[in-house]
Amino acid sequence: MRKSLPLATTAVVGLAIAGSAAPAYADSHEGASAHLSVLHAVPDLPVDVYVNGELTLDDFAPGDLAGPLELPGGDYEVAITAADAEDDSEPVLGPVDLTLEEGVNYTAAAHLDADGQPTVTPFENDTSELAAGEGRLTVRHLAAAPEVDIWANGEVAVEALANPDEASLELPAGTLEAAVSLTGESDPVIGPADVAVAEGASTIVYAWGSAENGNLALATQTVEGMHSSPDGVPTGNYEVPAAQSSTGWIAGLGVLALAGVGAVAFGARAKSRA
Amino acid sequence: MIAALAVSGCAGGSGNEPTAEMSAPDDSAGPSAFRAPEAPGQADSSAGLDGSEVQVRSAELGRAQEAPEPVEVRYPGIDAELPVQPRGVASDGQMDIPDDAAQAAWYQYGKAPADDVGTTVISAHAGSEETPIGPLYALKDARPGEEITVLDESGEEHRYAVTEVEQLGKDGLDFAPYFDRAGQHRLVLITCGGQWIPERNSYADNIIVVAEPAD
Repeated sequence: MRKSLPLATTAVVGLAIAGSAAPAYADSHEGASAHLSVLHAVPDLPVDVYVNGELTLDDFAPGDLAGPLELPGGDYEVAITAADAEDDSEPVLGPVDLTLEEGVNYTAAAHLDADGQPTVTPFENDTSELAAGEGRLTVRHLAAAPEVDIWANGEVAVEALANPDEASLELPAGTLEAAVSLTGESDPVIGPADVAVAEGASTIVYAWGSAENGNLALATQTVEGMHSSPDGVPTGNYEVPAAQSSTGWIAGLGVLALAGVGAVAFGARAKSRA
Repeated sequence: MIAALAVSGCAGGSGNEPTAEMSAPDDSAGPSAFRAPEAPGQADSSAGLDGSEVQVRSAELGRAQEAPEPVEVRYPGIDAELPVQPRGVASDGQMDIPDDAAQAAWYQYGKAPADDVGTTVISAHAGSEETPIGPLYALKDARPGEEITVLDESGEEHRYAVTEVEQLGKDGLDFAPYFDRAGQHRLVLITCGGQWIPERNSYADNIIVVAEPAD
């Protein structure tokens, strides 16, 4: 790791901690389709995923992320069955009704609730534009565990995050050392581990598994395309000596043209001006 | 608060220090809480609702493989040959540029020469105290058709042919088309030029050369 980013404690103030079980849908979004990713975060349970009765994900394994599926906006029914099921008539989870809005990016996560029961939580992924050089880090608590603190570079960045809530912050792109502890404690139950916060993208980190069964882990998802351009390219804060004696190369061009030098349509060489 | 954080994170006081770089996670040091690594890029697919393939991958903590960084740009038509270093964004929101005009910056958040899409942006000062007449000062004399070669860290040479030479006023200049990450792959070289404005201690314009892959 070449350089870690200091994560100021003030960042915590800027955190938006939102209950995610009932995501707030934005009023209008441009773009045609909804995007849906599916995260499997129920340990030890390979499943099949049916969307509107169609087998969409076969033998979907814990820790895997599928998608994004590009879907027309509308209502969808998602049912999750054992991996060897014949159809979706006997789901182990669901069926769950999802309303997808066009232009919105979603992740539906199958995971354990705080008490260890399988459940499905739909998240709306924030795709708002980021400043050049910055990335968005979102943490989501999907583990059968009590409230946790999220640590970044040795400091608590998110305090008392409960299953299935999320918290986001925008920070300079780079790598930070992340860890998860039970709230109020300092010994990590997950990590520490390096998390790369990609520029112009949302890096979503999921804490999943079960504290009781000792299989807590992190999963990540990246949603790209929120970058913006730098405000400028400041390459000229020193006056080049050669330019001082002339009013500019265009004037020089004119002189050359008058002198009958051909092929001046695009410009004379510095060499030929010297 | 976010802005303050950005400043503290980006404002590298020394001009020569690269801005934040991502580093590969060290799997070997990973704690036992993590699942055993699987082969990177491993993916199987299933049928989507519309019959299309659904990408499935492990969501295990990790990092996508990135294209090799450019290390040198050569533009024989203007006698320019510069080493290239990765740079990001300075604290003022502008592209971070090495102080010495003999050094070029590659916008590390954009695309690399080996990428199929988007622009590879390489910039350098027109001049500096160490190098009064920088190699890219002559960029204003670039002509369409001329060849530019970018060498990347894997040793591969990427050849481009100049298609556009532009001199544009800095005020209100929209850089989005030049920092594109999705369209046709191109090389964009940027320096400054035009009129020197003593009050601003800066040139009025950016000189922008766009080049497309030569083959």
